Amino acid sequence: MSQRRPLYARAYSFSNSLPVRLGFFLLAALLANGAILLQAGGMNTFHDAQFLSAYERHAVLTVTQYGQLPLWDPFNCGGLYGLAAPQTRYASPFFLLSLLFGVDRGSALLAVVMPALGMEGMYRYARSWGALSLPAFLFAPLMPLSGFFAFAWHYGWIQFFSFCLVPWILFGLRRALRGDTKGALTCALSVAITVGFGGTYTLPMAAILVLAELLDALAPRLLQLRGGLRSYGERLARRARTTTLGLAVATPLVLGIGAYRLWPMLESVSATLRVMGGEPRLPFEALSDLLTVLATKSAGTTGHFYLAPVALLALLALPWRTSAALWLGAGLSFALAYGHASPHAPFTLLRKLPIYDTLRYPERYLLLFAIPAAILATKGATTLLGAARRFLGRRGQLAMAGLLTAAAVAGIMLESKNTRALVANVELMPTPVAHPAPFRQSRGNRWLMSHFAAEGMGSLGCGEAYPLPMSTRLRGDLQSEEYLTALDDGRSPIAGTAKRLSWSPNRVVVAVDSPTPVRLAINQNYHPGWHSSVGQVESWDGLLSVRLPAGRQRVEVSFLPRSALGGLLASLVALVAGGVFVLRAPRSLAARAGLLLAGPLAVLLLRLAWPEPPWRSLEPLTESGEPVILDEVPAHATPLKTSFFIPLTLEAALVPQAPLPLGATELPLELFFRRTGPLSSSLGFFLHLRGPNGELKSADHPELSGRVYIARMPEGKVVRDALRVALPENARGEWEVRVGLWMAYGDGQRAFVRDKGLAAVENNEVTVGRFRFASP
Amino acid sequence: MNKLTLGRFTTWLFPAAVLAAAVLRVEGVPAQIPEGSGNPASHARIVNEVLTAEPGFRREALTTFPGDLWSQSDHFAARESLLVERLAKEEKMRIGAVLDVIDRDVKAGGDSARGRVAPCMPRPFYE
Repeated sequence: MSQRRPLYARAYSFSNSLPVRLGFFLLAALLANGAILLQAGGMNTFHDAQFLSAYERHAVLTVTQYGQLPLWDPFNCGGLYGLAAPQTRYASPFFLLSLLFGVDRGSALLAVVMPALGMEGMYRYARSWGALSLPAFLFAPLMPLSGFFAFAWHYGWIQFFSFCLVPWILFGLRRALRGDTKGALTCALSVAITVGFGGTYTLPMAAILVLAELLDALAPRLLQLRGGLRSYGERLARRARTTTLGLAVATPLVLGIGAYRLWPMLESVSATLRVMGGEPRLPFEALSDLLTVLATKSAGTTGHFYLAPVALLALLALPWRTSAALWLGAGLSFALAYGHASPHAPFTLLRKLPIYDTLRYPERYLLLFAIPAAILATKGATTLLGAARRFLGRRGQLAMAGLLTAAAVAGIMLESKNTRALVANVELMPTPVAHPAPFRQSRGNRWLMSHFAAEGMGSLGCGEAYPLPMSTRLRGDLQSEEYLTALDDGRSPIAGTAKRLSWSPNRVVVAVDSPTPVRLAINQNYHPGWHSSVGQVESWDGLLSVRLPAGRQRVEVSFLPRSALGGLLASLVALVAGGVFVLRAPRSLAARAGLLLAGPLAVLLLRLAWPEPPWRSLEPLTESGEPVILDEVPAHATPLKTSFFIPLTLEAALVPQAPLPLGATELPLELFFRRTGPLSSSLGFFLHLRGPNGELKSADHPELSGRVYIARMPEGKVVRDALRVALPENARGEWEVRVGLWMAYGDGQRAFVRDKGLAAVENNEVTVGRFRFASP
Repeated sequence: MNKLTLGRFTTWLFPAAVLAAAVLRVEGVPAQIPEGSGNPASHARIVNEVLTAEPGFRREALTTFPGDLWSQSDHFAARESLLVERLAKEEKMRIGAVLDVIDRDVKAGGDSARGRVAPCMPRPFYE
């Protein structure tokens, strides 16, 4: 005769069953993000959504229309290497959703699938911290259903769903650091999928919690000193050995399995690094509001990081002794969210590191905060259940479990309300439908980026998150995208012809007939991954071109970069070797090392066996084609030699000496600077034109010649800042040009002049010259 | 290793059913209907409006972002996008078709400056 199991036991049984858990997690995501699903019938009009979803649309088009892998995206910026672009998300298994359901419907499905995965990751992570299964199950939705993902949906930042994979990374790492090889594989796979999904901000941010995990793995409980210092030291040494071994297993697997994406991206990051200025800071009240206040349709600034207040129930228990690293992770994440609160604030210090200097928005660390906070809440709930059992008996425990369950369900309902408010103002337009036409580049428009490819057009105008090397020879007004030009940069006439035979994103075939050696120019950006069946592919000021011999030939130009094929190969090798390592657990050290290092070694071997020129940023040129970086100041410039207390000297200036015609609308101007040390990324130039009657015209700007960031000026070189300044209407008489530097994205303070040199200086404004208008 | 029993199999029906419900929900949302390609008269009006507006957009971009070439291009594009959206609505055309009309005019116009944009150079900070 079967005995009926108590409700409490059945609830535990449910939470222990993977399919039941997954079912509930999917249901929770469906309930909470149902409002997002209703927006699957159209395309988000917000401009970030335009260019972010365009990557995905272009990839789908490349696969479905041309039957190719989405390696080269010719529709964006004149062509870019998609795997190297940090914000593309199609290098992950979730691309299948876009292929099966279309980009917009596939994205909406992600709002269910990714949080459900995130909840399962949170459950496992909480369990690995010793939480009971029921509380781990109930509190798993806290982070994956926080308001951040609905907020991200509003702006089209779909790649931020990659944060849902962070619990998996931490869970895998935690197990790996305790000697579990399956954990190392889980960690490596999660990292690979995260970067493949465009989680390029996710990983560096998640490293904060990785530190907490390392600390927890290394340090025995600080309060357990009963055996004396010697015993503590021995335990510390044992842990250090296990942790080091865990890292030694996890690191090569992460690098190997993620090679297909990490390799292209590292190449691109090393070639072009963005500068991110600003010193954002948030007061405690603002952070508190972000976590605790629900969004409303009219207030767009709340609810972004809303965590259902169920956490409070559990935090009452304040588990401490076994959770020091969790408290540290939560505390550090929260402290980072304050931003530049002081010169020694965690965020200020973190931004001094490479990669982190390009991360802005400190409040996003609240999403990290949600992970340890949820685990702490889970542990707290475990303590509460134990206390209820001890003091109130089984019925008391059952009542406490019921209370926690009701709180969790209420939390999901609140998140659903939060999501509805956050996505209420999303505006949709029809999803572009392909109208096949021969491909051509247009001047384009990043604000409408998603519309071009469907019409057979590329958009030269674009807005990448980094200064993508784009040729200044790209044109949106060409009659033919493939054309011939003389090898002496077009000075000699050309008698030959070039005719497109076929076109696809990764392959262009052109019939060329020329009586002399010639250059075939293709109106797309150059990348060393391009190859030609005839002649030599080369960069023509950053434009894709092929140097061809004389004669009639069929030229096939195809894109297959080493890092794409090599990275994919290395990832597969690492995946198979990692699987064998975990499942077969070889005993010999050589076999273990060989399997673990198979991926990274494959990368190294491929780099040696397959030479490919490095991808470099282009030499910066001014708008009129002059070099921006010089060895010396041009002889005809007026020397100034004004130095600042920051390591920068204003060497010279060129201000028009001849009178400007009356009615002139622009003033051409050139300034020459030399950097002698590190400069803040928050610096900007101020430029004032002062008129004879006290008129003031400002032309503040953040870069030199619109091509070089101030903080990235090559040290020791002269850097030209050439610009055109719009002049006021009806300007007359003689005007003065004054220049200086200020913390444009910081406290607004001006840089002090150390030595005025040959210039007049007043209030840290350097007078660089005067110009006048012709008399009427 | 656990055997895949009928009971274990049926428990997987639960997440499968929820996932299927999500797919059905997403697939059941009606698609927004795209507009058409316009006619020669609407194309002519678009070309005329864009040509009239562009010098003002460029001047505004130069004033707003002196010395910042990409931001000038981008500011121009932002203004153009509003115009394109308005024209698409007025002419009952899809946005891609309006962009196609502009592209054809740029290519036919012979003014190479209209077909050029500044290389991407994201600003160090966005307010």
